[in-house]
Amino acid sequence: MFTRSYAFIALLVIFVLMLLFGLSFTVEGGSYYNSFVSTFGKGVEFNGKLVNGNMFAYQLLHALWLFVPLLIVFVTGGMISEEKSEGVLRMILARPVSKTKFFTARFMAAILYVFIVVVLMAVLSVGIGLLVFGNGELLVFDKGNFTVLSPNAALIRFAVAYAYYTVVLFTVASLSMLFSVIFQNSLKAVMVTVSVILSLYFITSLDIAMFDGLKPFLFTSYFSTWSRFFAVNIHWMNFAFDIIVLSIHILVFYVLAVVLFNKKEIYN
Amino acid sequence: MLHLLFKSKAYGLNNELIVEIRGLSKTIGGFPVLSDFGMEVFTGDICGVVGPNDSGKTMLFRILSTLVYPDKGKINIFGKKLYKGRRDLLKGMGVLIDEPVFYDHLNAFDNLSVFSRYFGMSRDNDEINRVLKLTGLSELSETKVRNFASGDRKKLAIAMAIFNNPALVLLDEPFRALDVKSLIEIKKLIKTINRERGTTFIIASKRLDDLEGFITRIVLIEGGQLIAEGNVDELMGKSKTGLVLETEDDARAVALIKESGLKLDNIVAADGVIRISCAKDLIPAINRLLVEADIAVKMLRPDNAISSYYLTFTD
Repeated sequence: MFTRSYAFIALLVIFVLMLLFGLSFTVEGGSYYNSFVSTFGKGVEFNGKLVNGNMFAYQLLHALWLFVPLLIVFVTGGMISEEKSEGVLRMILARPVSKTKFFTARFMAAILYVFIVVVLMAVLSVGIGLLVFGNGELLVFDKGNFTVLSPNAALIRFAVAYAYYTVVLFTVASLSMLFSVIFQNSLKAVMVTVSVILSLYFITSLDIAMFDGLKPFLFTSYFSTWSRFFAVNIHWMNFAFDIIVLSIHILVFYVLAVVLFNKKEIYN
Repeated sequence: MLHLLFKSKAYGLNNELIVEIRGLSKTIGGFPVLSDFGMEVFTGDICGVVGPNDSGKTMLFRILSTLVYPDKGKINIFGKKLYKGRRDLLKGMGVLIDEPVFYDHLNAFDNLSVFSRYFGMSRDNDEINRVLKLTGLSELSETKVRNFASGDRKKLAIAMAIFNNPALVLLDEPFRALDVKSLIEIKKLIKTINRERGTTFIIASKRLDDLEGFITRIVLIEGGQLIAEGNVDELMGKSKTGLVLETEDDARAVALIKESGLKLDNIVAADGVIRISCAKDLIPAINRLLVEADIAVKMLRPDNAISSYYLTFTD
């Protein structure tokens, strides 16, 4: 996988998006926070450096959190189906190779790729943010609540948020690998995965009571919950439940993919 | 342990049944690709599986290499059921199906090195060098595969198939798209490996010419069904010979021969030649017939026994 050019193209895309965001933050960051501050009128006063590296990293994560899963799908969705269509699978599986071990190795490669993407995102966003915009407190305003985090607390919150986000992306990658096993060609696998993700995300976004019972069990419900790590109080039990649900998703997708891969016939 | 047993058994064995297929059937999309097919191959054979396009040859090879599951049938390889202990059986087999696929950005040596790990082996440089030498690729071992000619790619594919000294090697159309020199080299290579290592080969081809004078056993397949099979020596004794003619007027020559009442198995005129399958002692009579009818014979030669045997079954 790591010899495939598209794996690096996806990383490049993330890097370019970060650069573009950095540019816009440099130009417009100040005016954004000025207009944000002015909405509170004369009763509230902010002292200190609002536009700083922590703010940059936080806003970047806000901007990218929905795009990164799609990039992960583009890379991992073709892993098995591409090898099938190239004939590589035919060459390898006509040898004494355990199909389960073979798939698991590819699965672990996908997981490793996700991990690398997240680490790079975290290091670059926080690192470049602090280098370019300097350190400072992180001001988070969410659902009517203000949270002001010290620079050290912000760093810890970023680490935990990115760790949580990694599990979300692992779930996306494992679904993508499942469809890569099911479909003969990469394009179909990627399209179906993206369609499933967008459809489920649509359901989780709807404020309709009939879906409320279903939402906790849809993995797309956890795409944006990383932001709760920046609240004043962190409800760790809620996050533990989230991780369990996501882990079950990963396990189910993995097991299903292994079973189907073992039954799959190779015609290419 | 099982694959070591296969390795030791590869040398100098008596004629034991190595592949046994009975009642093999496979349908895809409602279309029967293989229908009640059966065959036998014995140790040390170079068995040719011959049939036209879409006869089921490649599907047979995919099933034998466990890439595809049959709908029904009994398949024993090395006396074991094919899908029991799949990995152990595959350790005793080498396979080349369709066009070979390599890591083109790696050289020949590294391709075999990566490949050796699929056998659960740590990199065995001696075996890699031995196989490269046997297949005539020693000088190209450091060359990236993307720079290989088609003949050399086929040789590397055969190197992969014979890696780890399997007792049985399946080659699906190994001679396709090869130039004459590469064809001769690869046939010589297969014969050498068969002779020196006792490896059994099953080779699929749609061209009889590629297999003439080379195979020891033949399986004819058409429409997914077994047409005939047997040892070439036995069949050559049973079969009649053949004749290939070129005349100035093929249509008249064919009509005359057919009306003559001579007992022929088959007569076919195509691509400017007339092929006749008949008893050997009819050749002078056919020649005399044409001469007396004033039909100029440009060329007359005996046909290969396997070709004429094939003609007796296909019309």
